[in-house]
Amino acid sequence: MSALSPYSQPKPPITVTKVKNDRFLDFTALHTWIMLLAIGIGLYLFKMIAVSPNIDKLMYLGVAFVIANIWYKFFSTDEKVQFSKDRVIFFISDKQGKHVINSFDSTAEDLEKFIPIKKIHSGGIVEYSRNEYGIVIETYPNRISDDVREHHEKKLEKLVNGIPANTAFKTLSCSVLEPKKPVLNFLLELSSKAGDFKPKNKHLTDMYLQISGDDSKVISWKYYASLSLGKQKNQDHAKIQYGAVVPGLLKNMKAASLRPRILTENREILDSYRVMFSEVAL
Amino acid sequence: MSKIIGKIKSIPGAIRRKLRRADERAQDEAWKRSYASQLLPSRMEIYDTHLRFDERTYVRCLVCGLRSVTGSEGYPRELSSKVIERLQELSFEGVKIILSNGLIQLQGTDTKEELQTASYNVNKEQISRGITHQGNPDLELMMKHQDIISNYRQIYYNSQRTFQSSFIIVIKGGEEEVFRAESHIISILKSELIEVQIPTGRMLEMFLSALLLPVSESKAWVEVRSDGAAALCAASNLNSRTDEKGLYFGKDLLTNNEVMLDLSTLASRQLVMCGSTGSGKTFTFLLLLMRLVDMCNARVIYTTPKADEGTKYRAVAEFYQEKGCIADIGLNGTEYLNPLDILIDIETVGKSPYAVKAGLSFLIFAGLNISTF
Repeated sequence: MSALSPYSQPKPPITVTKVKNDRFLDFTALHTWIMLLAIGIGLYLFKMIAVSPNIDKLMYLGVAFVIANIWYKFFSTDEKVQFSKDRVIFFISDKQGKHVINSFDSTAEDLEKFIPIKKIHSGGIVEYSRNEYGIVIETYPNRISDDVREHHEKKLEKLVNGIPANTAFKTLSCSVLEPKKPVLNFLLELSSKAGDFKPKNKHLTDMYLQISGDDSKVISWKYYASLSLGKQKNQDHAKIQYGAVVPGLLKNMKAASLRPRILTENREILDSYRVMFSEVAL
Repeated sequence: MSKIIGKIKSIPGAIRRKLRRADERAQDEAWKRSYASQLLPSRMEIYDTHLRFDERTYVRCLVCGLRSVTGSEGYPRELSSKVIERLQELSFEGVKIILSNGLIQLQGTDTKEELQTASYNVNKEQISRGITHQGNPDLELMMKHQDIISNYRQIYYNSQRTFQSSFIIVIKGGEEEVFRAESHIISILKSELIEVQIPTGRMLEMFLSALLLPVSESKAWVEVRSDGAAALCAASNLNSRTDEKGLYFGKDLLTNNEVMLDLSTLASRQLVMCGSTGSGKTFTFLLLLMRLVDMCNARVIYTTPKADEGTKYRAVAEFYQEKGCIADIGLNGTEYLNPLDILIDIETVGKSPYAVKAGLSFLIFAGLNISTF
């Protein structure tokens, strides 16, 4: 600030004072009404103390103390009121059969009831609870035109017919918001190699600007499949079952142009589950 | 002395406390190691009609197919994989859709036995109805019996197999968006004559059944033959025609995706463009040819038998300055050359004026009379 400024120099605060809650005595807030109710009850109790005989005075005093204590513990601030409100809502919900599961205060055993993954073994064999084993496959199918749809479905029929009896096979497709456009990266790469030939640079820049200016959202789909290897005594037995079933399945999947890839890395398998569990924008 | 006794007395309590703390820490470590804690949302609220994750994501499940007695299928006979594509065309912003199809193939002998039992039961019902209704047969039972025979025939001749299928659709997102998406999905499924149920009270079970876990909810299972099971597998991708590099074709209006094709992966590199007069065929071609030059380092020879002034094709060659050239040939042309010269390497031809053209990026032969070429 210049010396000619009509304003005084800023001063640091002498002490840091406690900032009052903005919602103090805000009549749209629940905790204000609870506070007024507590004051009302308190005043009534004080009146009763004043007019009652000695023994009753003690009783009213005790009640007033309990009420003050409850108010201080559960309703004295906006946060405490919100917390108490949530607690009541969830208590009622629980009584009505509506449950809340907080994964951070549940034990690992409890959480495994929902995601029963025990271990991911080498080669992508996933061990689930109760000695069940399975594999996760990512597929990259093509777009099918109506002309070849019947032929494509026949190949898929062969694929499903080839699944061993009493073995669970799941296919899953999951929509994901595609934030990136590969063409933009490619155009940047080309621009950096274009040199100083102006027409080419101009053309590439125009294309880049046009494409990047289009912010319409692209929803793409991810494709997964899983095959159960059934209940097995241990990992070695699961591997034997894997050898007996998976190569044939892969062959049929390739024949159906699904381009399968067994997920073998820990990270890949967890990522595939994250795609299913995650929120809308990945 | 009393202090020492006091200290000795406090030892068991201290050990217990330390053991308890060690136990808690071990539990914490087990929690951190568990895959479930890494994957599950921090908070799941389970209601009869929906789930809510982390206090913001609304989750609804739809179960498709009609649960029926043994012998009849849960999906329409004419079911096609087009249904899945129609669902995938729903590109809703703010909503995630999961289409899950679980299949378990049943043993042929088991299916035959079940069909036999179903046939017996239907006949028994028909006979008892015949007694009470003066021999008037129940049409529903008649149809069911025909269905059982038809299914048995397929199993007997080994033309189809029987599956238990669970087709579950999971919709996640904001509450309003989820309901909007759900109404679209239900309308598509209903138009394809597929029954849809909302599994009230079993949302979490259905959600977990839909995922790639060894979990299945029996209330979602529906009987289906091989063709129906195949049609419900998600096996076509609307967005598959996009590579990381190649020739940029434009935007797919169905999916909003930018389409780029790596031409080197194509078996055949020929393109036919069809359209009525004035629809923009030449314009599109010139656009693609320019992209070929700049994106794929291709050299282009464009020949046109007519003076198509509406398209301003000459401007394309002029745009490339010294690397573009227009050769007006033909009856009224100003240049004469053998078009086959451009195939000859510049070094073998030397400094021939025609050979210079072979080094160009964009060469246009205008006024070429194709019939005499």
